[in-house]
Amino acid sequence: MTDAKMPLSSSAPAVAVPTSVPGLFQRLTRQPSLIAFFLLILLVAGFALATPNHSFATIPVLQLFQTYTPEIALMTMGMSVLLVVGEIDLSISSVYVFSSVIFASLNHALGLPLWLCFPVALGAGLLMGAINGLLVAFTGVSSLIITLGTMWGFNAVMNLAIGGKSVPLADANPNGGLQWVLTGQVLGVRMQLVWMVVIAVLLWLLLHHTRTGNRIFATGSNERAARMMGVSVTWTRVLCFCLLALLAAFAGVLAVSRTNVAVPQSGQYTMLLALAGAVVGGTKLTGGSGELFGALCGAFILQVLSLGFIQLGLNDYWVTLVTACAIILTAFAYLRIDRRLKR
Amino acid sequence: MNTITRSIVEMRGVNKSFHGVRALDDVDFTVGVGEVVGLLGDNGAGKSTLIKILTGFLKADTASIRIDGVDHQFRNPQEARNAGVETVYQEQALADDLSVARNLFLGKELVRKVGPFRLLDDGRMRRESEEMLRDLRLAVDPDKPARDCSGGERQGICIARAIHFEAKLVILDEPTNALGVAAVKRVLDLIRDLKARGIAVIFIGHNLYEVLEVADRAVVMVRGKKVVDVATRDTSVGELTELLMQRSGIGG
Repeated sequence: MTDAKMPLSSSAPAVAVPTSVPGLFQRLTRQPSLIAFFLLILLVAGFALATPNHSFATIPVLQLFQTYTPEIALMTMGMSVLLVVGEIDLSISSVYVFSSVIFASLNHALGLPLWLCFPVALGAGLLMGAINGLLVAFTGVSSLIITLGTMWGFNAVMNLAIGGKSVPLADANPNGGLQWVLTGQVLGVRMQLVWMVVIAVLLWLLLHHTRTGNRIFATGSNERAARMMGVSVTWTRVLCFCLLALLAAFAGVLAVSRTNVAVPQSGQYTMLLALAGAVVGGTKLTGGSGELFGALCGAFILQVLSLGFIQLGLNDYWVTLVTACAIILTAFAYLRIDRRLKR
Repeated sequence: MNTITRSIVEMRGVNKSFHGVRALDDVDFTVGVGEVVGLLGDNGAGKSTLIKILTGFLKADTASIRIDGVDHQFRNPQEARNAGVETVYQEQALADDLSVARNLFLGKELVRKVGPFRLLDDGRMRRESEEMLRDLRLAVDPDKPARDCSGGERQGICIARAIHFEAKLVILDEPTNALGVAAVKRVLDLIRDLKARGIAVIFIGHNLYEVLEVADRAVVMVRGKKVVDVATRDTSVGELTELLMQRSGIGG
């Protein structure tokens, strides 16, 4: 009798008694970024075991990650910050491609040196972010709608100004000058990976160890309380829009630096990847919580999924389908964990 | 009897209409330094309109407002807060995702210089938070998220914040709503704490027993008018109830 009763009652003391297993579970669920990190390791290990001759874990494949992922990771992190403040930006694929086209065109058409094109392209990104932020702040229309509009708008302006043709760099020199600084290689490490790490550290400092960061979380968590405590929620929001757009512009410039050409039709998926990466990394769409490390892992998870399944010989559409399911499943899992915690 | 005590709040001739409906009808309202005033009335009696005008959320049609002897016309809550008027709303005053310490210092975070950066001084904020909370005999871990705090703890945190940033007046908007018996007692103790520190309190409530237990004076509003303004030591729950019924036209 008593034996039969044990399992029934076991759930109650498990909460109250601080044993190590629930403790670990609590810690994990409090930090979705750790879940994302374990998921990433699991996926890498899984693909390494599953691919023929363990081809997934070879240097050439791993090289692909440091080449391509930093661009997406910059945007997942920026998107994560914006989601923390309680907003969303659908226009970043347009910001990304517009900035890359500005970077290439200034060099191609006007012959400006690349080190001059670079700050102008970043400035253009910043301006687009400011437009998004100010429109959201002063119209009161939700950022979903505003940035849906500017997504088309920025793209139209780009096509009107530059046309739909690809723009090659005139002074292309992948191994020297600015291009080396942006996407060159040192001791086998890609410079874009270095940039990603540096920016991740700076963003982490900003978000968790500055007044601005505290106010970003406060604004996303409880706007009214933040305002009552004298936080300028408008400025905080605009800042987050600018930050993400700046990172998207930087990613766009990295892409041009890597390929020597800006393609106006590129990057349609960057916004979806950035959003999906942030969500897979444990950032909630309701604002107030999110972690950069998770967003970073999210970007890699998406890339691992796609490269892994390609290595397994799956066709591209299957990869997309699997990724789609993974995004929805992880978001659902986080939601369940969250509800469990709040109970 | 209030002529000799200095006033922290002096509102005179407050009028406010919403689309032709008189919400406040020539209301005078004063709070002495370190005085606890219970503000009573049914929903729609005008007490929250009066408080919103005092805290800068609303603008009166006509009013003269003096805080600590200085004339003010608050255009927003921030100006009121700068003048030393701190409002504590139970549900809305804390950002749930932030730690207790980060909430206590929200908007006035402590920083230290590290190289080119000005970084948050979490260590100092935690120590000072611990002190602030211990002062009020609140056993709350400053590192825990505000989400995990009980209703009573939340009140305490807001009150600790008001004390720390030297508020002259704390407005508690129905602070005992939805609290258990023990938590209600804690909040009433906190109000006495505020009084002991010379901070005036406006306690908005429904429960006459609670108000009479801590307040020096009870003010009752009915349909936009102040109908009772009486020192609590000169009255009782029974008398106040009777007054309320008479003035609101319910009783004989």
